[in-house]
Amino acid sequence: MEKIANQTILQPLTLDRQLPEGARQHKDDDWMCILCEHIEKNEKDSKKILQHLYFTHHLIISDANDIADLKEYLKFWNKEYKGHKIEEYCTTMLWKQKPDGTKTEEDEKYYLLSDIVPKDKELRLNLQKKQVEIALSRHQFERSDKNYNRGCLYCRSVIDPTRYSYIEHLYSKHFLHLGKPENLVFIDDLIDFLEEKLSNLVCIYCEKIFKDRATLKEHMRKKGHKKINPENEAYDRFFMVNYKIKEPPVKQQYPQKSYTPRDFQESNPVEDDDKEIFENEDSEWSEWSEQDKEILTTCLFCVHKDKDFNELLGHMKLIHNFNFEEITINFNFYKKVKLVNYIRRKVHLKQCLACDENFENAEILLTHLSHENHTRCDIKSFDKPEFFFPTFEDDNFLCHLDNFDENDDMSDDSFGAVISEDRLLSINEDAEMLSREKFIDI
Amino acid sequence: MIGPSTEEVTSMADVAPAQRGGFKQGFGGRGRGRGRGRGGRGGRGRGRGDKEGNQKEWVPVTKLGRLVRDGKIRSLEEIYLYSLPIKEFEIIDFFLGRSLRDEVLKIMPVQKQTRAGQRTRFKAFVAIGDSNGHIGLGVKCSKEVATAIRGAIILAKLSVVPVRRGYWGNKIGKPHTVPCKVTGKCGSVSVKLIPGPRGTGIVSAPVPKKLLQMAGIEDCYTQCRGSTTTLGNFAKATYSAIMQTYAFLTPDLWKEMPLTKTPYETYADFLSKPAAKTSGAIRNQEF
Repeated sequence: MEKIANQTILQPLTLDRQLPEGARQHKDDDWMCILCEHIEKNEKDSKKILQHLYFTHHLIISDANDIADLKEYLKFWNKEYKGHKIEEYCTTMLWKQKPDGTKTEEDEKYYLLSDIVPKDKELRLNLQKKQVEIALSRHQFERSDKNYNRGCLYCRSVIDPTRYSYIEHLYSKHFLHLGKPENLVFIDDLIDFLEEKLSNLVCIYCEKIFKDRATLKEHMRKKGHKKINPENEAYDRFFMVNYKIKEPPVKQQYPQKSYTPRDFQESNPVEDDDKEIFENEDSEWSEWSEQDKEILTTCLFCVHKDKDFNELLGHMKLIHNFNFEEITINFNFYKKVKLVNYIRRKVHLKQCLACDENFENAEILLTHLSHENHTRCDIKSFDKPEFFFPTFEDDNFLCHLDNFDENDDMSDDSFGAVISEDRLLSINEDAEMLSREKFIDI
Repeated sequence: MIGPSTEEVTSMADVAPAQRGGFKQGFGGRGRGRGRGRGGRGGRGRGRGDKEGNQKEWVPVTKLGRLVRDGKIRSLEEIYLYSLPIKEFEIIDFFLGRSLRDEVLKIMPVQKQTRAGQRTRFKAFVAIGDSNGHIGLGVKCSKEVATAIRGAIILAKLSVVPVRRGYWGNKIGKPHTVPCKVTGKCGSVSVKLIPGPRGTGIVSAPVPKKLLQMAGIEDCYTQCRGSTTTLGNFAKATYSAIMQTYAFLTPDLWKEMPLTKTPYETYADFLSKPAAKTSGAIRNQEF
């Protein structure tokens, strides 16, 4: 019984642990000073730290309000400035006035930290990009997440399962215009924000305070204030359209080719400045590339990962004395699949491939394999139908086995021929009606 | 929770102020708040108090659309049989509406430098399928995310193709895998789909896996080549490979069929009549 228990795998296996994307990140409210150890704790905005920098160090940050993430910015420069003088990265200005306004006889030195310094420019750009990325991944999460559950701001009903249905409910039942759900991001925060406003009896649009909830509701209804004020900057971060990068963009890789216009028009009218409607479709698809998310393939024996399959084969040849290409030289595709799954299972169960000996952990198994040269297997042991099924659900090794240059070879005797489906009966009737036999009488 | 006020929910008075000022305020707001764009809101047509889009009747503008609307064409496969180009997405909705599920694969901001500064637009990549033999892909770029998604869904519906499935080994139950090895290529990426036995599942990277699931293929091995980090080309190559399943001539398709008239010919007299307003016509928004 133990042997069977040792050999069965009862739950799905994966090679890589996937972290949930877009999960809420806890922000710390500490603002660090660049030049000294002073830290402003638990502050909602940047006023105090900027004041500290100005009064204590005579330091001004140019366009501080445009910086995407001021906390990260300050942290970066705090690290950079360790052991350097202020003048290295800042431009110095002279002014006959102290920070609090009193005039002085001599010039006082003031320092300006701006994006003239290339490091600063790069930093600002990267912070913006990161912010856009965070917003996009959060937007993706909110779009697909079906575990949302929240009570409505106005009525007693609980809306689920998606955030979009919540926004739709507010619009359709309570005529509260927040915007099209797809244009919003950080919806949880937005609803919290609105809830706070309403419970403090403050109008969402004009920010006036009212005596009680009934008057507030009446005011918002009558004045048409059941919407977000476009002038109000506090709401900017909830709308996707505001996540822009304010620097020159990366050059587009493909030139805009002229394209034969499509015959049809969509229901949306064509926008005037959208002169690139007739873009070449291929270039449209190739814009989507994620350079940092390389799919890595894991070695069959150890935990070494590589993005290039041939490099991985070289690794196995060198380190584990296992020449995959040589062993599988006459194997058809399905045999290769079975071999890979077999090896994966054996290594997962920490058993040797050739002699079936059990080991305590992976390292001992590896030393045994290299020592005894047991990185080879018997065809009979892996040519079983159970090894058609991948041992690991996300095993990328199986996606590189077939040689594309070979002709599609159907002469496999390890299984029966692949049969194409018969068409579904309902369609068959139509097809049969067209068949020649029906026309014999004519 | 603060108590509800049911009068507020059902009172007609609520509709009136929105009718008066809703549209205008939306536009005025856009003009005032330059650079604080919040374009999405003005677009909601609240003039007649109905939700946008859903209750508008479909008035077909193509011949095929007219035939479909009046029920002259029985199934989507008839359209595929004659290789008629589909130019109205409502046709697809008519036949597949309820079972179609769309999935937004990615939204990316793309930028262009203009004389007036930066122009950011959002590009949406959408895949659509009914998990039972139909798959489509669409991409659309627009200033707002919502418009891009909607446009991409429409384009995806227009690109819906049938998927041929087959059996591996014995013909028990429903077809579950691709009928033969098929390859698709887009850019530098090549994707090859290989049949597999029942229970294999889809052995591939996440992007093709999603597409194959939406197409209704249950078991399949995939082989990929080229720069698979270009996920756009990867998706397109998978779609192209899936499309090949019906392009491949297997022996059971050798039966000779006589040439028949296309629906345009068969229903020529119906089409020559001017488009009458049919109140008893089949509505496509029941889905």
